[in-house]
Amino acid sequence: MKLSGNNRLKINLVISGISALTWLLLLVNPGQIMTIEHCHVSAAGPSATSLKMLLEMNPVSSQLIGWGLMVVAMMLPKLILPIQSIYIQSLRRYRLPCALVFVLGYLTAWMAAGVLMVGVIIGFNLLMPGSYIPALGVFIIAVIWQFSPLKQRFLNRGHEHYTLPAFGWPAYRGSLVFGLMHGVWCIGSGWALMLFPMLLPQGHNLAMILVTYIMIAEHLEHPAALTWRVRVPLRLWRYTVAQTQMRLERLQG
Amino acid sequence: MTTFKRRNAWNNNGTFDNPDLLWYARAVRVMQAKPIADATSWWFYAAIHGQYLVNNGSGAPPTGYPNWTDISYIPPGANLSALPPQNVYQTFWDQCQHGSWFFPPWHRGYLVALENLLRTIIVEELGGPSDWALPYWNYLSQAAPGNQNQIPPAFTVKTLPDGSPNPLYVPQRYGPNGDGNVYIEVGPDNPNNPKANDECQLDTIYSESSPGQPGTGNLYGYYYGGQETGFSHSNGGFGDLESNPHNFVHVMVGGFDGDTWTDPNAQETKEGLMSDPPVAGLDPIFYLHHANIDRMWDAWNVTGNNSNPGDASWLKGPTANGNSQFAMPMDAAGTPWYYTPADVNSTTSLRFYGTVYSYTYDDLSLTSYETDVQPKSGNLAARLTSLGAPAAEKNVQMSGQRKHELIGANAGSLSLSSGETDAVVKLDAPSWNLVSKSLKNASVSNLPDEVFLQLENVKGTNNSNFLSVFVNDKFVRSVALFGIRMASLQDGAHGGSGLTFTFNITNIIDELHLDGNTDLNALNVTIKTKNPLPKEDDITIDRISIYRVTQ
Repeated sequence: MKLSGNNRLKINLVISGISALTWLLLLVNPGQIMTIEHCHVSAAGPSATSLKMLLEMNPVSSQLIGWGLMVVAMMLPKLILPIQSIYIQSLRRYRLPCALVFVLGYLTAWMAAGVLMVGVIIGFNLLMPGSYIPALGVFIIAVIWQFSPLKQRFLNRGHEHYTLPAFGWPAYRGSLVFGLMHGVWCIGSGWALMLFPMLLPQGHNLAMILVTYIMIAEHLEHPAALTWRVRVPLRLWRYTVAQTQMRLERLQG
Repeated sequence: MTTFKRRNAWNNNGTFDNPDLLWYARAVRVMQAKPIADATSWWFYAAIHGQYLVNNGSGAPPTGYPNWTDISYIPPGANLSALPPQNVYQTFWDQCQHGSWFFPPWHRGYLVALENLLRTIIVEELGGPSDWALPYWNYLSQAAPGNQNQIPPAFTVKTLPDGSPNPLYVPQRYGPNGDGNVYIEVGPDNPNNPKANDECQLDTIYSESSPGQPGTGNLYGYYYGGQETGFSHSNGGFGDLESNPHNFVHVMVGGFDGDTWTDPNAQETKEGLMSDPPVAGLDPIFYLHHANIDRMWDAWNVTGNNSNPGDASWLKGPTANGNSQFAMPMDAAGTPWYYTPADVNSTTSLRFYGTVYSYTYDDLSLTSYETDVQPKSGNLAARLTSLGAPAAEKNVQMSGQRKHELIGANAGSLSLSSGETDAVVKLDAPSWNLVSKSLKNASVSNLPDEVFLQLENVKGTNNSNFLSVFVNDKFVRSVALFGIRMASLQDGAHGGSGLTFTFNITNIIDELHLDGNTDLNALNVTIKTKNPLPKEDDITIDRISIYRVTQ
């Protein structure tokens, strides 16, 4: 069974709209929630005092809000297909609440990871404020991880077809577990890519845009063998080109 | 331009007196003498359909049979340890399109490429006829000699007329009863003994959004060509042609060794080659079976006057959704012929590697089997009449704006037992009321809902089995589990989701409605396995669901 074109379009527009608005917020960066401000003390080296000042200038709560916004902006488009799947699997009145519970589960997983990630970011800023070395190190790790069989395993798990209970609390519980597990597979495949832009002293936004494309595109590839190999996720690009061509052909009659 | 004619394999009693079969056997032998790294070898061509040799995004191959290294039919000369280059096998292998509206066109291109290769061998290497064409096995035929549901004898004798080994003989064919007698059970579908037939030929619409007049098969089947495959594909769209006879015949020919049902120590590894897509292409009967399926599709177009989809998403093939093109190798190095469904839309003007290829069949009768099962209503107008709607004009069109909506499901995963397994599928009262209302108020301007039952994510390894489905003790139909092992591989193309089967139960719901059962809160679904399940070979179903389709 399949979802009607109208419902698919609505889901696409709502999710893309929320993601776009969040991107706007991130680019405006109110209250510097997306960047770490450094205190002069930290330049003298790591110490309890400099950590304290760093945390005063960059409270963990605002760092987590920034992390959450980044996850929403970057990852929400990845949820279009699972949310479509929830819609077609659910009774009509359960569709929206189950989709929301799914997103809640998904974001919960990423926020739990965010606690660790923000800790790592603050730690690097304390040890090497303004340095590109941490970003470079994570970039190298991300490249190695990118081509590893372990990453492929997480990507493959992200393709698992969850079947949801249809009625009552089990429907919500199933959606929550689906969201949590989908989040775990996403974190497993994309943690290094997500960390990289956060460690860049400059060029943060551009890196985020690139990473977003890679993460969405690789999520849309088919499951693959668990081997070391260079993966270039081109399916999204090919799909976009083909669909554009088809629309142009239709317009030309 | 020559129009090649594909003829009945049962000509000259299906023996090697039929020259089409004799030349086929000789050319197959030439292909089988080549190693798998050669793109014109039999082994390479079989792997185009599917293979259990290397994980090519298809899931890890099984250990032991049916891994290709454990199949005795493959000789050492195939040299399975020396695979073609990775980029070559990634382009060509594991392409078979199942559970999709691309099932008919992909297989048509596959047969044309093989037929062309075999003819080249027959003409250039063996000095045979230049008009040779692939024969077909019409197991549904009731014409003389009357036993055409038996596999042609040329596939069961061990030697060719010259005394050399017969390459068409495959030991791993067990037949529908597991006793090595290979034939097709033909007749009206039967819950105790599923049978192949050509009721699908009564369909009039290729897929849900294709143009056409709604007819028997569409109201009570699941369209002719299969589910419209989009960006996201869940392996759940077997069209009526693919479901029966295609899947049925695969499983009946391959079967598995009947010892498995009585010997507690027997392994289900004794499944026949034809039962499982990644090994099916190894068996030479595969291509005669598919020639018959292709013949039926051609007859559906030509004699039945039915149309294929005109939608660009079908005409352009999987590339419309960012997937790989259909590709067949033209030479030993693997020079590709890329094709789309549009290229193979017609058998007489087929675009083949920069030229036009033309073939036809000596018999394009719409049906071969005189089916005595006629669904209660033949078309939408008749359905409306049966529901007591005001007199409908003939030829009522099906809506193009159909919406699918879940209205009920069972609770939790179901593990099947040998024999019958029951499940209660709870109906959602508000949703069910909408269905009841639509049936009650049915009219031409207010078309009644259709209702579908879905077995979601059916997983296991027992390809050579059938499930017969009943709703409230009324038999719906049977399905064959062809491909279940492959579809259940966790790192495979479908994410280990297994197979999903969709059953149109509109006529049963209509009957319940007409019998006054309007306040249903559940449907009782019974699923019956044809054969006992081998030990440690569970079949599970993640969910049984009921959908309404509004028009």
